[in-house]
Amino acid sequence: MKPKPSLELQKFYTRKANRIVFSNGMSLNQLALEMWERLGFHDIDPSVLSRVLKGERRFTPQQLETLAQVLNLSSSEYINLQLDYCREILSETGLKENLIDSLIYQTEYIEQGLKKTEEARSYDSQSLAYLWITALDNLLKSKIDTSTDRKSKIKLYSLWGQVLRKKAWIILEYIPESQVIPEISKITVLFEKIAEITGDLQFRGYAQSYMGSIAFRQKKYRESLDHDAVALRFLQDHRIILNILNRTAINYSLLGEVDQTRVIEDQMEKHISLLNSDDYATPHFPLYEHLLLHRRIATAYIISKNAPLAQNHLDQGWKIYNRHLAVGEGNFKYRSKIVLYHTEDLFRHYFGAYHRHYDKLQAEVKTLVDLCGYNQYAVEGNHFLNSKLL
Amino acid sequence: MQRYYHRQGNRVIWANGMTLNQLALEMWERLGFHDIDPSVLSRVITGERSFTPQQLEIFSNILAIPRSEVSSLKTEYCRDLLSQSKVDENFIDSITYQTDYIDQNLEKIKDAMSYDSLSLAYRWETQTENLLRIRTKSVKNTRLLKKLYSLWGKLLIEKKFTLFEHKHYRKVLADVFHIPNLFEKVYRITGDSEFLGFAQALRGRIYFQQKQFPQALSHDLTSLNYLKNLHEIRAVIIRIAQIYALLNQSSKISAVEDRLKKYQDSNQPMSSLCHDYRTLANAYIIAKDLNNAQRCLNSGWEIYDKKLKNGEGDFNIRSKITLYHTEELFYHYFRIRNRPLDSLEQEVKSLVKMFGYNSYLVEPGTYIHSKLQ
Repeated sequence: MKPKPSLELQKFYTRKANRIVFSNGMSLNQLALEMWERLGFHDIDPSVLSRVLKGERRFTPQQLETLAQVLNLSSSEYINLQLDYCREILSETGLKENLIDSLIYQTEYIEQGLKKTEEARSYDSQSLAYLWITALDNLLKSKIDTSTDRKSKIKLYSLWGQVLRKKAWIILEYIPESQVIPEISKITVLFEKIAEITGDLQFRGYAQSYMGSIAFRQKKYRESLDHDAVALRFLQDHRIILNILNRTAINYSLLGEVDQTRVIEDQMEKHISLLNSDDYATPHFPLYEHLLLHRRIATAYIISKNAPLAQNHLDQGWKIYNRHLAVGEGNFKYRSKIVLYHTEDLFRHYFGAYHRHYDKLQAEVKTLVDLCGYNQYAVEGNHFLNSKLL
Repeated sequence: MQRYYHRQGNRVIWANGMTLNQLALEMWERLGFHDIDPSVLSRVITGERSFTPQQLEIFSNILAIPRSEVSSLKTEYCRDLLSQSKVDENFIDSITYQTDYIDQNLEKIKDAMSYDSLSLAYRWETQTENLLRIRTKSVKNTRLLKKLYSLWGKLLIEKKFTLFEHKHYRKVLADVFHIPNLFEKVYRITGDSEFLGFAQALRGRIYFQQKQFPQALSHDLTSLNYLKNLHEIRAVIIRIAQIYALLNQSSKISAVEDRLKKYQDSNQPMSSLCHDYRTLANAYIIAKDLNNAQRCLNSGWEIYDKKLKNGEGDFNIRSKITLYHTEELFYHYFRIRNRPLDSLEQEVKSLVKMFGYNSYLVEPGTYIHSKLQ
């Protein structure tokens, strides 16, 4: 099969009228002569070089190395040329693109990196998770910058979208409150771009959902409702939909539209019934997510001043924590304790009394917030986390 | 490929019981009655040619090869193709055997350790070691085998540290006894004599833990002939100082401290410098040299307070725990406090539990260094 012209190679020359000028200023003849000398006075001439550029033949690895030296390419530029070269060889044999992607673009490595970041989160090491997600983000940015093939670009953008979803979560937990909104705003713009390039409209949903989250933090509840309503049109994952419905319920409560709150709460119940039973976890819906769900629903009921239902969900959250998460590792156990405590605090704020007595827990939670880097839950004296809702 | 057939006399018998002709026929049918015959299959076995991706797919289906093995076969296939095209072998390794990925994993393990996420580091070390164990079994290429064993050796350097910190000190020896032998195996395969140094240093540590101080000293001194890794050299030198103290050869400690200084440089992480001082303090405490013990211990605290306390990712939790434990040792020997530590005791106990520094778990009425006596 005839090789195609290398797009990676095209980065290093331009055409001026009929002349080819390389990035170091050499003409085709000059470059061929220089390479010929460095290759021991054989293996290349202007006609071979011209045919490589047209895609009628391929460099040998030695010629490629010599080209990189003559053009004084950086090591990352040379690596990209080599990767492109390997990709061409493998593509010509008819190997599946997924396998080639996993080898050449280290998609597997990126996926493993995402998995490790999630593990760091689940072991309550926010600073570590943030360190790695930032590294993955930078890696993908540089890969996208150097990728010229459209198919690969789509794959890389799709992976970037996954990285950004994770990054947004970590930002919301780890970054100090004052920096959250600018950081998340940048990500929403990127989600829109990813939706456009990959054609995957879920990313539009994520963009809208995070805009809803920003508006919520800015106490622009009506605006938050609008974004969330748009987000729901694009999203399919029941857990994400539940999160958005939950915020919608809280928004309506805060706007004093209690009837709407009830409607949304009914919708939430439907989605919950589509998920698995609370009695056991699955890999897709682990116990700490059950707990988070209960605590979020409890928050919505607290704000809509429905004490019995708030208590019910809060109790279920504690039940999961005490039975399954308090002992063991890697289940967001510290985060679970922190968020349950904060919901208890919200309960006390709305109903004037603790649902349970957690005086001792206050100091412990403050320490956990500090040590694990859950900076979103760092609150000053006499302020409770959810005071921003008021 | 050799894993999927054996020879009976002149006949090739595949893992599913088929002969070479039967398998070729079956593949020929599934490939739409073309693209393969017994002679092609025979030449694939002898390495004179490769399967096409389609042939490889059909071959895997007929022999019901598990997915993970199919993936390895495909990776091998890619490696052959790139190798035939004379692509640089190291570059092929990095993309087909994910040696870069394993390297990156090692970096992540170091990150997890320095961010005081010991249980996470331990989990990944175990995963990476399992991966390396599988890879080294399936690889025949000597150069690649050396590369993988070298990675394994680097992993063991991190793992031994994690084990000594994460496991309870009464239980750790069972988990580390085999590691010196593994280091020696890594040396035999890679030819890198530094791994001999790591083997000797670890034996020194094991004997030290068993309170067999002369044997520990002997292994530690041998290890210094091979080691180049500054961190390991410093750890060995400081242990030697403690051994001299325990063997009542305290006069040698200040010379050891001078020797240590030769291996300290500006690139040394602050946590490591803090650790050097606090461990050296241990030696002076055991030697009942109050002034030097206080000097070293206070230098450790100074680094902690100025450089580590408010940061992240430089063992800041571990540094606090270990400084506290040296304070306890100080009190045990001198019956006076170097500094008031009442509020720290509870905090350190919580930190030990929360961050999995189980080697610092102490029973009521005992302190961590009681094992030295």
